[in-house]
Amino acid sequence: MSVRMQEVVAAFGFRKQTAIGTAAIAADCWRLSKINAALANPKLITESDAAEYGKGHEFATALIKSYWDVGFTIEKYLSAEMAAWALSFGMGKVVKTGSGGNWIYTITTPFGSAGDSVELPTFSWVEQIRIGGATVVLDRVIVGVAVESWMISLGSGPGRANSKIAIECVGSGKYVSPSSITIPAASAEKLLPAASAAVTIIGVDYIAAKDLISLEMGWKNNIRMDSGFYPGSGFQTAGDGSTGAIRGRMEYGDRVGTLRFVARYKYGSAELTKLLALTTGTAVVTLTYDANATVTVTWQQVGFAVAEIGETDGWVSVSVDCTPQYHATNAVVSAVAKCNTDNICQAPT
Amino acid sequence: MPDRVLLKPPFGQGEPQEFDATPDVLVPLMVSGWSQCEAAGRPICTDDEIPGVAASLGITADSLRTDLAAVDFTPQKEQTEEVNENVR
Repeated sequence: MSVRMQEVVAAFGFRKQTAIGTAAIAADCWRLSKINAALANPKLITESDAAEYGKGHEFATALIKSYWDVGFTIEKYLSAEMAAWALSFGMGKVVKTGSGGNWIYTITTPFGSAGDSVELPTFSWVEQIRIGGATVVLDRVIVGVAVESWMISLGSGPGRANSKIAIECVGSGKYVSPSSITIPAASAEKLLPAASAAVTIIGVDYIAAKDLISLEMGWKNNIRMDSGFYPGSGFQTAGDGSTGAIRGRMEYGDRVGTLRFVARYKYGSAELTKLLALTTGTAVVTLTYDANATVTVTWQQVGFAVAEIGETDGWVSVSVDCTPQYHATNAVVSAVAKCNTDNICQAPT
Repeated sequence: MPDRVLLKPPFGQGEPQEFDATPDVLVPLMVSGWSQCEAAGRPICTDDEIPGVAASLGITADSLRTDLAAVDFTPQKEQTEEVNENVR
């Protein structure tokens, strides 16, 4: 019997794993929907012995399990819960405050030079199709997954599609099947629609002026995937060297922030002036569901790298690429995410 | 009045300190290496720092982390007397 892809049920750890090779427990996972169909397929990379000498010919006689790779993308309508989760795992350093079910996550990026770990927190990703019977199609947990990048996209128009987040994930390669995880009931999410946006960039309130057309912002860790493999990084089956190597660490590389937007351009618009003057300032983007379900991303110092006049839906517009810069006190980017879910990116107790 | 949060210094050097839990305060600290102590928002301590009375009741630093809110630090009168008796 054929299986519809929409039968897949996915869950993932809202807490970080205790170690890169240790899967989360069910109690530390939540179940949220997503809008893309892609699965997190663990991919076995093999090598052949074709190039080796001593066989008497140049052809392969055997395949060897070399290593495992995992990469997938989560696309979602942006919610307060997902914003807190993605930014926490995607930026890597979190302080949790709040109480009574109203939690506040203050999020920054770690700096190894300041004593922070260069390894990013990891989580577990569970996928199941037709679980619980004799006709299980898929049941696995991907272990040791880190957020490679996140990108929030805001657009103009009605509907949830105007506020989305795409989260690129990469894994250690380890997976366990069957997962032995009972996926919990679906969690409610509080959406953060584009209509709730407050956007101020270098002193201009683009919402008060009704000028903002679209905005994208994100963070990419450029995780050093190859250096995840090192002497002793481990194997798919612990202690069994024939099962393929897995990564033992997920370290960030040269991190890059992204902020770009399109706004209406009219008398008094100062984007070109700021480009020419190399003006810098903060950029603050806030999305709100209610007082306890919000996200605010602050780019501590940005300049306009590109500003081009164009046309959008018949209106004169300006497309601006910002360059996030390092601010001496506050670094590059920080976020404050409020939601009702406790223990996001916190260590298991 | 803002919440307070306990942060440990960069490289784990020095004693944890309490700060106002506002972004203006936290962000500069976090990017300069300060990080949250275990058990979010709750103070941590070592076994050596457990008050003698609490230690005599079997309370450890780990048990405090597990559920600090459920722990009553106030020694009951009879417990105090019992400990005092043991000390004597």
